[in-house]
Amino acid sequence: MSEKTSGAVSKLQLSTPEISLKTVSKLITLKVKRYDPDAGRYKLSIYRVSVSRFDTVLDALLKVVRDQDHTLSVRYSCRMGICGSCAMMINGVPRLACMTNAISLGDVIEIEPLKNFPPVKDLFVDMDQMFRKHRSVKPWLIRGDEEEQFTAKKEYLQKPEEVDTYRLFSTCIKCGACMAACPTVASNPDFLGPMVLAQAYRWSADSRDEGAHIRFDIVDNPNGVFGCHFAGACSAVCPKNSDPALAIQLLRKSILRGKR
Amino acid sequence: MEILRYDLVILGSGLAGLRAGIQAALTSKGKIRIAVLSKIHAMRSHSVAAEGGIAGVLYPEVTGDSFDVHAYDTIKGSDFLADQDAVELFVKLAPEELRFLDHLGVPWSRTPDGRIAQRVFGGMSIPRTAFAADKTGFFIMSTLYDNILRFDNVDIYHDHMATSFLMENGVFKGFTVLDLKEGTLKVFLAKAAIIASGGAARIYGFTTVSYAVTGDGAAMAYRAGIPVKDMEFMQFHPTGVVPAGVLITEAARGEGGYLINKDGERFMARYAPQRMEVAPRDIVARAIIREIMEGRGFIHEESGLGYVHLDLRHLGEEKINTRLPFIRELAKKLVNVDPVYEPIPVRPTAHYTMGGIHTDTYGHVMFDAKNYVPNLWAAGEAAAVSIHGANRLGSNSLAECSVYGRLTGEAAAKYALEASSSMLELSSSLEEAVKREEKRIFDELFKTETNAEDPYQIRGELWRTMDTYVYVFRDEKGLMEAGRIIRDLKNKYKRIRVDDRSRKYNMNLREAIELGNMLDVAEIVIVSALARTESRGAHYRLDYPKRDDVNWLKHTLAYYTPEGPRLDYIPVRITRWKPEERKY
Amino acid sequence: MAESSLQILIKRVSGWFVPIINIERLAYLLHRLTGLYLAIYLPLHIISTHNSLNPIAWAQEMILYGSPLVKIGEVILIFAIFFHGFNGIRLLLVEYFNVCLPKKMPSSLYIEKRLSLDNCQKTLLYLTFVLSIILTILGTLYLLGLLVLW
Repeated sequence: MSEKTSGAVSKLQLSTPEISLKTVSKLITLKVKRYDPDAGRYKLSIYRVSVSRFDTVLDALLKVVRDQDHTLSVRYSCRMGICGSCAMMINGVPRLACMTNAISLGDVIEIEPLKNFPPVKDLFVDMDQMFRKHRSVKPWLIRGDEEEQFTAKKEYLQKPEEVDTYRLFSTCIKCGACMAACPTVASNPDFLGPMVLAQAYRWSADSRDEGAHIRFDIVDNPNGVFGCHFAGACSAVCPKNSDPALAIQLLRKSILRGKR
Repeated sequence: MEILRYDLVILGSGLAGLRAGIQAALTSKGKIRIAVLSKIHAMRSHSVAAEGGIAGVLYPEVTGDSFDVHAYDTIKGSDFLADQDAVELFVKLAPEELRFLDHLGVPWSRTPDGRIAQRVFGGMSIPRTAFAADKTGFFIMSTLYDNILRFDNVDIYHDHMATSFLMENGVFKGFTVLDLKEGTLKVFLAKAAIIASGGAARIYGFTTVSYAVTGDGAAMAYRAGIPVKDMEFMQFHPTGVVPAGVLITEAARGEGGYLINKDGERFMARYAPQRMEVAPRDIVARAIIREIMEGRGFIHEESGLGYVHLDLRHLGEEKINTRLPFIRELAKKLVNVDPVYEPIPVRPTAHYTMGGIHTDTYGHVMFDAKNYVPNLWAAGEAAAVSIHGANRLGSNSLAECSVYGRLTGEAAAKYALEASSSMLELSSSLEEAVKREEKRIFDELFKTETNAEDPYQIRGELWRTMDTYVYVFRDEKGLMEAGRIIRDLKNKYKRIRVDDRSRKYNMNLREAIELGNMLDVAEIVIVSALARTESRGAHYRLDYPKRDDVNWLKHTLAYYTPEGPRLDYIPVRITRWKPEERKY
Repeated sequence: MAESSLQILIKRVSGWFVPIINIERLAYLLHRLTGLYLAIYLPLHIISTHNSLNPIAWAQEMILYGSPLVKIGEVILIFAIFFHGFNGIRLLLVEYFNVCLPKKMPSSLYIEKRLSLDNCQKTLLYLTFVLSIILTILGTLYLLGLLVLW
């Protein structure tokens, strides 16, 4: 199939999906449980939308917003699973909407705002408390000499094996899915939560860090590391396979043995 | 109406914004109050999606690298439109940034003896791109966000979207900001401000960037009378996955990936025989489109898009898992292709805005070649210094964000320390401006019951127009048609209706405001592209295919007028490298 | 609106019952329920055996303990003891001794399984369930007199 090189630019580039050749598409139902802040309760909105083979749940929701209901508010940004905005309950499991294929979930998809967070509107939830807990474990590189730290003349040496000890846990995108799945977070609002504890371990295990004992003091209580009883739901749902449960068990061992 | 007064306000919480915030907090030693505004949550800024790496001359004694080579690579890559004094400053400060980020805790990929690893990247003659697996932007953003929490004098305002600049007699005074959580308009008055609001690649439909990258900073500056520079240069990243448009990092080619057409040949041999797949992005993008145009590309059956193959199979599973794990995950999840066993379908995708708010060598915003805008700086993709000229080399953007975040953060903090509090007065003329803005947003966007336009339809039209007429190859007829359509859409935009009447988290309202900004930016791009009758870097005109250094070695400045952008030109600053033919 | 202690208690306990996604989560729930059961049982047992000093009260108790409801409660008790014990040992091994967790973290970021869950820890978990159920069945048979222990 060849095209002429002369002629209008629009013919040359075939850049936009106006023509759909042989699209495999299916009509599915979205049952969206939305929070109405004025009424103070949830309401159910049911939409029917046509999705193609590659469409994600986020694509389906955005089609609904564009074509059927402009008032549906959804949090989203990167649509490639790296910003962490679109975490929500999809068929009862907390997942990222932009990395969940829609057609493989069947004819009906049930969508709810993320559990264990106070809802604000539609699918938006308030994540302030999670980020406040995150800040409380001092998630930064603590060095004895701060002056030297901020006027870098030479880099810190770190062998590849040393990077491997903590790098998996630094892939956390702070989406909140683990907090929604954790039963301890559900039952105890003061529990720091898997994301926060995993980040506490990530910074303590970094060979460049010198403040592990400070963070251990912060998490060494029933609302910290000892509130976790290895339900493992956090690692089961983490969209980046960042394994917070592993971080917490390693953190626990470090605290109990008294060293990093 | 809530009025907040800060010494320094940073608009945007990406790499440049957070780096500026940290530098300002360090410089001021806690004595000034800093606010960082983000229209989404600060951690979700699009800088997290950057994948490949960040360039810097770290170990010149080992690799034989030098500042001059990095500067020459950058200037040649920019097709000689970059301001060379700015580039020389930039390459000197880049390695310091890499070390600073290491000291903050970024998990760089390392060599076996513990030093920071560097890899080959497009347009770089010596490997100088430091990286952290293939999620460099994410790790740097995450580290910067974590570290900015350690400063008590920095307040981060999430879900706060600036809607306009408050200017008084050409002096910058503050922002009107829409608090998306409550749906109210606030006023932020500042002694100094840094615009780090990112690029505008979302004016295209097929793009690598997130939905939030709508050029708000550039559009607001333009409407406030500040010129926007070089907007016709929009970079098209050669490898965006088909049909989603998601980015497949240049590192895939840097690690040795091949670009293959329908006949199974590595066609880059005909376009850039020396560098092959790691030629600069504009050359590779044009090569791919030429191959598709001449019938040697594949056609995607569902969307009708033409594409070529990015073949990584020969790299082996272990190398892909260690160096390119995120690419493997994305390809599998979004298009059901495992790069270890199959090639990935890719096509040029709108990616980066070389243009932006006009600044001087140190990031201070200017009205023209000589006059400064008092109290205002710009950094990152939102600014055009210009380092990248007509085409950006990969991994230079993260370095630019970091370097200029630091320079503007330091300069703005020093300025704010000296400035007096009387600057934070809300004069009556400013109050008038605020009231007008409130009316514009809440009355005019919420009104129009009958004969109203749907903002989502307008946005779809915008995307289709930009994707078709203002893509890799442009010509006069196409650009004029695009200009006509955009002007028509701008008229329609005056009559849009926002259906969602609630106050809290009104995404409909936010997207309507973003649409206004996108239409302004699109108009500037088209007008600038139409005026520039040459081909340089990322801007390629089929009717003027040659580079014209005699007439066009200058930057385009676009100023706001009610009838459309008025263009002016300023010369490029050349120090040591004379323009020459660009061959790879 | 201040919440009463009862409301807080109900909220806390209902948190254990959020949807179960993986099998370790089920073990978490059963561990808490069996723990609660044992915590209620033990004082009752002490109080009841105290009555062995008083023959009349003891005889009354024995009649009470003949009822089928109590018998079922005893079967559940057997399960509770074995499950809570074995699961407790599994948790001690994983949480304190970090058994089954990777000694060395992988150098590639392309992770296809959950390192903390998809390893010999799953085997230990299945063992916990299987042993608890088998021993509960044996214990029930013993209670019914169908099994004689030497």
